[in-house]
This record gives sequence, C-alpha cells and structure tokens, in this order.
Amino acid sequence: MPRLGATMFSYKEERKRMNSRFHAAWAVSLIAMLVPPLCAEHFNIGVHDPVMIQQDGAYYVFGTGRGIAVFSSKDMKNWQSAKPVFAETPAWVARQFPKARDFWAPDIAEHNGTYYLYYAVSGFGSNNSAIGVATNRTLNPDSPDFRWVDHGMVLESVTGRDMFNAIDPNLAFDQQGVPWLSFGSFWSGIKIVKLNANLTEVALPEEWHTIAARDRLWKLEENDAGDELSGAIEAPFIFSRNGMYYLFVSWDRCCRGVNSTYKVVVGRSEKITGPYLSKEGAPMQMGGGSLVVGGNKNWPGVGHNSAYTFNGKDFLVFHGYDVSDNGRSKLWIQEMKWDANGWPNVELQ
Amino acid sequence: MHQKKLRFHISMLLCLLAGLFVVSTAFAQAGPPSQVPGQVPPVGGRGGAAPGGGGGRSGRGPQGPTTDPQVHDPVMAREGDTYYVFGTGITVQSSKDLKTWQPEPAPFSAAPEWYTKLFGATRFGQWAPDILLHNGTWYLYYAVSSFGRNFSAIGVATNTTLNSKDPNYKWVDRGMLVKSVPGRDMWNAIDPNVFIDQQGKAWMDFGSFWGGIKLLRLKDNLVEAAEPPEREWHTVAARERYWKLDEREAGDAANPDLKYDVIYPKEVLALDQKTENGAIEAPFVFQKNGWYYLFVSWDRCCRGVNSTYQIVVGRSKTPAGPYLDRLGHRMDWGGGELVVRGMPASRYAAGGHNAAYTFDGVDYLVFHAYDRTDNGRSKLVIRKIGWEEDWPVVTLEPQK
Repeated sequence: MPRLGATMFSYKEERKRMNSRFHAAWAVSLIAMLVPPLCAEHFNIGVHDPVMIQQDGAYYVFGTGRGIAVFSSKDMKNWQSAKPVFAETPAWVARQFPKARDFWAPDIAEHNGTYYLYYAVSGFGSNNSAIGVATNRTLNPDSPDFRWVDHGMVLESVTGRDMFNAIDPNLAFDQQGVPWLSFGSFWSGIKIVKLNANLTEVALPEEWHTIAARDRLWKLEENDAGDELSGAIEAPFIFSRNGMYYLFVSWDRCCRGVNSTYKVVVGRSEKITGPYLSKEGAPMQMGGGSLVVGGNKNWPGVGHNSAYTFNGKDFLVFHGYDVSDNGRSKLWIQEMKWDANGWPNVELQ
Repeated sequence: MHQKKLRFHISMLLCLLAGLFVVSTAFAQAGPPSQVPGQVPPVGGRGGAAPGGGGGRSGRGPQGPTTDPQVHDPVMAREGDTYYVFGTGITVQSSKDLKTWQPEPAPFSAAPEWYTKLFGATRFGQWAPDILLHNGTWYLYYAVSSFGRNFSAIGVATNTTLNSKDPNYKWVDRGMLVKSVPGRDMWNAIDPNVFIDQQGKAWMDFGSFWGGIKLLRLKDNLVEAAEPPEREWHTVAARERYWKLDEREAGDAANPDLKYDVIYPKEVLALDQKTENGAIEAPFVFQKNGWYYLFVSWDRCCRGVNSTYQIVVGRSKTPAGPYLDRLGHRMDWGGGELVVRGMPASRYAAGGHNAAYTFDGVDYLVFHAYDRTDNGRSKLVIRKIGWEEDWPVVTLEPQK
C-alpha cells in the first residue's frame, strides 16, 4: 500500500501526485478484473496486498479496496471477483476516518471455526490509522451462515504521538498458542503486540516490540512516513516452520507502477517477539533482512506478501507491478522452496 | 572500561536505594518495604546520589526550617502569603520570604488505586510534579516511573487549598492522564507541565529521553487527554538518538533489565554511551509578551557533582511550536539556547529541571542544582530572570 514521503523534494507535491496516480491505478485495476486470467503463476487480476485462505475446496483472496476486495477460485488459477466484505462502512470507521475510501491490506485467518479478517483504515501518507477486525462463520457467500460482523478497532496510531503506523496487520500464534498481531509501518518500523484470546483486543498488561526497522532521518516531520532512503518497511507476515518463526517484510516503494522498487526480505527467530536475524545474522530491527524475491525487468517491484501451506506445499502470495500492462498490480502465487539451511527462495517465473 | 562498569553498577545500586527511599516516603502509611535504608538523601528523580556525590547521611525528607533546602525537580506556587515548593517524592516545603523553608506534609500517604493496578509492585517512585491553579482548584500533576524504563504514567490530584492547616485541605486523586508502554512508545510519560494557551486551550508537555518532549491537548477539565476531533499530539523538542538503540532504553544504557553486551555490537554500545544521545527532559512552558518559551533540561541529572544537567530554551508564537532557539534552530531538531549550566569553579556543578513564574511583577526561574560544597546534594535554586531582546538570562551564582 502507498505510504510515501519525500525529503529531497516537495513532500506535499509528491503526495498529491501519488494520490491521483494511486486512484487512477485503482480504476484501471477494477477494469482489469474483468479480463480473463492468462497464465499460471501470476494472474491477471488487479489485486493489492493479497492474503489467501482455503475453505471447503475453495480458495479466497482478500486485498486492499473499497469495502475490502474479495476473489475466489476452485483451482488457485481461475479467479473470480466476489462481493466486497463491507457493503457499508462500519460506523466507527465513518466517524473516525470520514475521508477514508479504501480498506487497506487485510489479513485472513481461521481460528476455532471462526474466520477473522483484520483490516486497516488510514489516510494516505498519514499515520492517523487504525486496525479493525471483522469475523464470519464461513467464507462461502452461498452459505446461510455467511455474515460479516465487525468488532471495531483493535489498535490505532496517532500522528505526533506514535512513531509507527497502524496498517498491514498479520495475526500469528506462538508455540504456546498465544495470539500476536504484527503490523506496520514506515516511520520507525514493524511492531508486534500481544492479543487477548478473543483475538479482537490488545492483551493487558500490554506487551509490544519492534521486530523490524530501517534507518530513518531523525529530522523528518513526524507526519512524514519517510521514503526508500528512510524507513521504507511495511507489510509484515509471520510464517512458522520447523520451530522457527520467519518474518517477511517488504522494503522500498510500492504503488508506483513500473517505477516501484518493492521487494520481499526475511529474517527468522526462535521467539515470535524476535530478534529476527537475517542469513548474515543482522537483526531486522537494526536494518537486517535477506532478499526472498525482488523485481526484474518485467516485474520491477514485487512485495506485500503472505505465506501459506496448501496441500503440503508452501506458497508465497504477493503482488507485482506488470511492465507489460502499464505497471498494473497483479496477483502472484509462487511455490516457496527451502534451502538446506532453512531459508526460503522464490523465483519470479 | 571495567572500572567504569563497576562504577556504573554502584551508581545503579545507589539509584535503586534512593528510589526505595522515595517510595517509602510515598507509601509511609501503606507499609514500606522493610529493607529501606533510612540513610539516603531525598533525591529520587532519575536515581540520586552518584558515586563520590551525595550518598550517605541525613535523609528524612525535607527538614527545617532551612535556608538551604534540598529538593529535586522543583515547581512552585503561591497561595495567600505563602510560597510552596513541590518536588520529586512527592515532597512539599513552604516559605513566606523565598529564603527560609519549612517542611510540609506529603500530599500522598498511599499510592492511588489506578497506579497500583497498573504497576503492581511498589518499586516505582512519584516524580517531578507540576502545580497549577485554575478556576480556584489546585492541580498537582506527577509521574509514576522507575529508573531507566519508560513503563511510566502521569497522574493528577486536586485540592482546594495548599494550606495543610485549612480544614478543606484534601488531595483527591483524579486518575491517570497518559501512560507510556515499553516497545510501543518512543517517549516517556514523566515530567508533566500543564499550561493554558492564549486561546484558553489546555496543553500538557512532558517527557522524556527516548524520542523527545511531547505536547498534547487536554480537555477543559485538565484531568483527561483530549479525544478526537480535538486530540492533538506534537513533538516539541528532541535530540538525536542513534536509531539502532533498543526501544526499551532511554538512550543512556541505563535500563537495568537489558543485557547490553548481548543485545548490541560494540559500536552500537559506544554510541549508546554518548552523553547527548536523546538526553532531554523536564519541559516547562512560560508565557510572556505573546511568546511561548519552552525550557528543557539537557544531559545528565542525578550524579551529584558529576551531573552535566543544563537548561536550554526556545520560543514560539504558537503552543504547538516549532520552538526556535536564538539562532533559529528548531528544538525538535536539537536546537536550544543555553540558560543555565554549572561552571568548573562555581558552587554548583550543574543545574536543571526548571520551572518559571511571575510573582509581583518579577520573573523567577526555579530549578535544582548540585552543590559542590555539600557532597553534590541537590538544592533549591530561585533566580530572577533578566530579559535580553526577549530572551531569558539567568545567573547561576548567588545574586547579591
């Protein structure tokens, strides 16, 4: 999702430019959804910040958009657009974010028979943001039980108060079954916070950690997200494997079409609260991270991933900006291979 | 290096002892911990006596009458013909002439309910109060914290009089205004200062170390933070902090919970020990001639004669800043015009943590300073403020 700033030139101007570009991108994306899928690993559906889940033989992808975008597929290849999660904006969002149009970068998880959908509401380039959560008993819209129930705000960030941004949530459980929400960010990096067993509230006493960060020019205005020279990190996703927690994050710039520089890096830890170390042993909260997948000639920026095991195979799900289609953001689902040292690799073809 | 470490540990031990003393004062009737040593001076604050500083004798809170009162983080008020100085502890002393000071009863005999709930254990001290009269009610703001950590909160109590002999004298706890949470917040909920701006809006500035001094809007009741759409937060003063420092530490390698040699490579630890690393606290806003003056203290308090505390100032036409120093440097980018610092040959090794007031048309700077002639103990200092092109000028040496 777009969080940007600029220190070397006019921040406001840049924001305005990106804002209109972003909205234009969205309009084009909506049109792109109507075009049938073309090839195997990436799919010609316009999606941003995809997360995925499987229920009763069907796959569902959720992404950034009006009311939260939803796609479904029987085979992970042919995707159909479905009704957004929210037909009407939840009252607390309308009250606190009267100008918000899109819900950003959701996360979907099933726990004890309930589906939890976390989402973020924010202003563009602002960290006046909040993460909310809605639940459903099924993801199948044809089921009589299908009904999204919003549970309101889980946490928020306030400009001038917080050096983080309450966006890009991801739910993960530690080995003791304790739920944690990682999220963020730009500003001073990715946070993780302990949740209550109901998965909708921050647990008391509060336990917070910064688990990944990048250097940020300390004189930036506190309403400035930073840019790729300064704190460009977001979209955390924690994946457990063989007793280790893998923290994926995206570095650099999303949302600039063919000029995007987005990439996915990873680190791992024996504790869900970190420290997460790169292959070289650099702590991610001190700027460490090992590249998992980055851009190439045809896909200059790829990122904002999630990761899943479906039918015994591990997949990295992310979006990429397609040079052959004016830099539009497309869905990628790529098998994730693990090397002998337990580090993930993903090819862009 | 080894010796330094040892000194650091001794300093920490003394700090903890001093902290226990502060707690024991605050909890006198709630059952103080049995191991409290009664022989630590009432310094508190970020710790207390430094090695070679004021450790040792004669500490049972303010004693008097005295013309050389001990205090940490003083603020002042006048009611009727009596001046009151509040300090870390919370301690209170009174005077009719600003020269001879009498001890007064402590405002709190037990911890407020909210803070035992929040903090549990009793190893926390009540620090650096602020006192404000508004519409006939006295507001006493204070912080609850412990050395080197930002697990802290700011609370407030109200009273209708400061005169402990008045039958209406009674401090009423009004709860918590704001808390800081380690790992969440890059600031520390300590050192509150509340003021009403020229439009009648209430603000609280506070903090900090970490990422600097915060300012937030209060509700008109002065006991709660404003809520949206009035909610407003700003960073009004800061100093550079090395970005790789662990968020659980202030910027001075002094959180006793952290194992520094484990969490940091050598070069990070070296940067952590740089004195100026985010060392900023104790804000106070003083209004004069249409200006908001923001005073803050830089560098290190609480080390007796080894303290390096100093007071700097900046000013703004609006309460939210930016506050600029005399050269035009922004205080949130490290700017600050020097007001008070200790000199090698002077009685005071260092001074800081100020407040400022106008009494009978005279402006005063009120702060504490570490007394070389008395083992580095922290003393109350009250100095007239002179003005030079609308900038405050204060002489630390005693005025004739």
